[in-house]
Order: sequence, then C-alpha cells, then structure tokens
Amino acid sequence: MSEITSNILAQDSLSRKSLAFCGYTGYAAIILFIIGGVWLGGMLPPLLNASDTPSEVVAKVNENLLNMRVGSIFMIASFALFGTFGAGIAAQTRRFETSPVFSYVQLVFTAGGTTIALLVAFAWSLMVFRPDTYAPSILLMWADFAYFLAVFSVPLFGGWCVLIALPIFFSEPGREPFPRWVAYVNLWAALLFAPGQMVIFFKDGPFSWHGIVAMYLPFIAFFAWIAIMSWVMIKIANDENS
Amino acid sequence: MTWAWFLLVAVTILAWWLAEGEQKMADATTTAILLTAGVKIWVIGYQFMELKLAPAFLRYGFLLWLIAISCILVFLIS
Amino acid sequence: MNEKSQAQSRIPGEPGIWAFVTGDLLVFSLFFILIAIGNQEQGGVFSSARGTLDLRFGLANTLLLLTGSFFVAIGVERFRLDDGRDNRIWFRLAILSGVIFLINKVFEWNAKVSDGMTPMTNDFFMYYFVFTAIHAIHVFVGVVILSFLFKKSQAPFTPETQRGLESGAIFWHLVDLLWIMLFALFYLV
Repeated sequence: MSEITSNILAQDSLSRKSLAFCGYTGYAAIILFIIGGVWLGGMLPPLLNASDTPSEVVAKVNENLLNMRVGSIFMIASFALFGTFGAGIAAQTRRFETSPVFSYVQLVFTAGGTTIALLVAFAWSLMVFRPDTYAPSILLMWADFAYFLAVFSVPLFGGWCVLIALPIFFSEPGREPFPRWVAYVNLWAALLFAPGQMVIFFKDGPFSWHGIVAMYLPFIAFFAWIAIMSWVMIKIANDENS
Repeated sequence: MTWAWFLLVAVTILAWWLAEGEQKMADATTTAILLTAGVKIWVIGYQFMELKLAPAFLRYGFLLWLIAISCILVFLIS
Repeated sequence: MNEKSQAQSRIPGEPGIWAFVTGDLLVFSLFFILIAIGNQEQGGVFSSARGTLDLRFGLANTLLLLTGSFFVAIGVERFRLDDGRDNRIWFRLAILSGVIFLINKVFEWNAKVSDGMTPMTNDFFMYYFVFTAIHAIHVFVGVVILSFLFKKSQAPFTPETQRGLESGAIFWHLVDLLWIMLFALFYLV
C-alpha cells in the first residue's frame, strides 16, 4: 500500500473500521450464497436446466421445495450485502478523487447490481412459492428470469468492474486507491462475465444458462472477484504502518 | 526478434501444408499440427512477451501450462 | 539469448498484467478443451464443418497477428533504446494489422452466415462463432490499447512508461497467442 493511503487511514480510525466492515460483508455475501445458492437453493450447480421441459421443472421444484425456500432466504440476504461491499470500494476510490466521478458512477452500478441481484432471489422464491398453482411453463419462466438477471446483465456487472479498474489506472503512481494489480483482476473479471450474454442464443450446451461457459464461469468469477476485493479492502484497513 | 518472426511464419506455413495434405496419416498429422501450435505459442511467449527475461516462476509456469494444455489437446483430439 | 541472460531477470511489464494473462490463459484453456471434447464426441460433424471453413481467411489472419506482434515487439525495443527516433510507425503498423484482422473476420463471418451457417447449426459452428467472437473482442480491446501505446511511445523515457508500454504489448501478444491455438483447432486439425 502506498504511503498516502496509510497516512490517511492512520489518522482516521473510523474509516479504517468502516472499510474493514464493508470488506467483511463481502465475505458474508459469499458464505450466505454458498449456503443459500449452492447447498440449499440449487442455483449452482444448477438443479434446473435450460433444456428442461416445464413438467420436469415442476417435478424438480416439488422435490426440493423446502430446501429451495430456505435457500431463497439466504440468497436474498447474500445479495443485499453487495450494496455494502460496493459502497466500501466506492468510498476507498472517493478518498483519492478530487472530483469523485468514478466513485459516483461506481455507486450507481453498485445500486443497480444489488437491485438486479435481489431480483434473482425474488424470481427464485416466486418459483417455489406455489408451484402447483402456476402453470408449469410459468415456473420455467421464473427460472429463466433468475438466470437471465444473473448472467445476462453483463454491462452492469462488467461495467462495475471496469469502473473500479479505471481510477486505479488513471491515478498517479503512488496515489492509487487500490494496488495496481487489482485493476487487472477487475478487467479479467469483467471479461469472464461476458460469455453470460450467450444464454440468449442457446438452450443447451456450454453457452446455455446451465452451461459451463455462460453460467459457471461468470458465477465463479463473480464470487472470486468479491473474495479478492473484500480481502484487499480488509488488508488496506488493517495496514497500520503510518 | 526477426528470427522469431521468420520461425513463426515458417511454422505456420508448415502447419498449413500439413493440414492441406491430410487424409493418409490423420492421427500423426493432427498431433504434428497441435505441436506446431505449441511451438508457436512458446516462441511468442518466450521472445515477444519477453519471458526469457522473466523470473523462473513465470517462465516455468508458462512452460508448464503450455505442456499441460498441449498434452490434453493431443490426447483428446488424436 | 546469451547476451540477455547476463541481465538480471525481471518481470516484463507490470506484475499485474501477468495476473490477467494467467487468468485469460486458464479461461481459454477451458475453451480449447471444450472444442477438443466436441471434436472427440462428434468427429464426423466437426470434420465436415471444418471442411467448409475458408482456410485462406484463417491463414491470412494468423500471419497478420504474428506480424503485428512482431511490429509491437520492435516498437517496444526501439523505445527502450531511447535514441530519439520516431518509432510510432511500428505501433501504427500493428494497429493496421489488428484492424485488417477484424475486417477480415467480419467478411468471414458474413460469408458463413450467408451460406446458412449460424451458431445454431451445429456444435462446431456454435464454438466457432462464440469463441472467435470472444477472441475478436480481445483484438478490438488490443487495438484500443495499441492506440494508447502509439501515443505513449513518444513520451520521454521513464521506467513507468516502459512498464506501461510493455504491459500493453504483452496483452497484444496474448491476443496473438490465443489465436494460434484457435486457428489450429478450428481450421487445421
């Protein structure tokens, strides 16, 4: 970490604590998603397939009803924490911007990303709300909706990453809000989200919303990105060599 | 630098010639084509990306990746 | 190589670019393996579909990228010599090679689509269109980066500019390197 960062932070124990708080909420988001989305909810690995017929979807949902319902609760808690996580990054960028353009745009994308993510959990919970009353094809549509929100929203989540990378690249050497390698990691994450948009063309195979390239890759990259950014935030907050 | 470029072009032509003249020994040709790609990637990494100057972990990391992916592809395809 | 080995080893470019390179190589490894598995499972479909590709486009594009990489490498080396010569021409030529690559690609895709081949035709064309498109995005980003390098190459020599220039060049070489394998897998094998 640069001297300036540690100087500012050394004088300001509140901002250090708040930055660490935001970092830890990122970790919490990952853990909650692992419980809600991976273990219980059947989002990753996908319980449903884009190639399933509506009746297959109904059968699978009915088999896992309770797990998916409880999983939805954990997922929505996880996704809400994207807000604190993103605000922490924006606040750290803000400290180094005289004219806080990038920090503001980051906040816009954080808010958008959090909302879209919350809708994923809404779609998932509505799918398991009354699967026998809805027509089977509506259930399939909720599944489509959930995955489209998650992986088709590339410009939003990828743009968020780019907006974290740019202020790092543009700042003078020694005055970066985050170490420079963080910028490269963000660009890489944005690139991994990109194949998500292929889901519109395919209902089976690696580019469908249950496929390895269009779904696994963006999902894993996204949570790896949260893990890395949270780790960096906490590390900056803990760096006390004033 | 210039010899690297000449080598790359020569190997590309060789691979193209191999692909054109296929049919007879399909498996051997396939392996040879993948190997030419591997060689080209090594030259690009070593010369152009200047891995020749890089610390050992980068140089060998790259080489290891190249060998691994080439072996996997040769195994799967031929 | 002999004269170089005496110089102490250092990481070319910024260390961060290698995080990106590593990540991108791993992702494309997954793509390569997917193509190879498809080839193994549906050999007939793949080889007949491969036969319809125009090898001349692929070969031209390979040579373009190789030569573009060569130009960028010369440009970076000239910059390090710092003898005040105008070395922008090398970056200009490299940008040109990238742009021609993209134009070529558009013609090639166009020809395929008008022959009735789309990503939905079969698995070969699915991989072909999607992966070459992802690669073309790389080329486009690379051209944007090269135009920054073009400006930077006239800046006064500092270690920072040198690292910046090398990092951009490494990305361009990465684009080249990934194409080499895609070319082999789609056109030649």
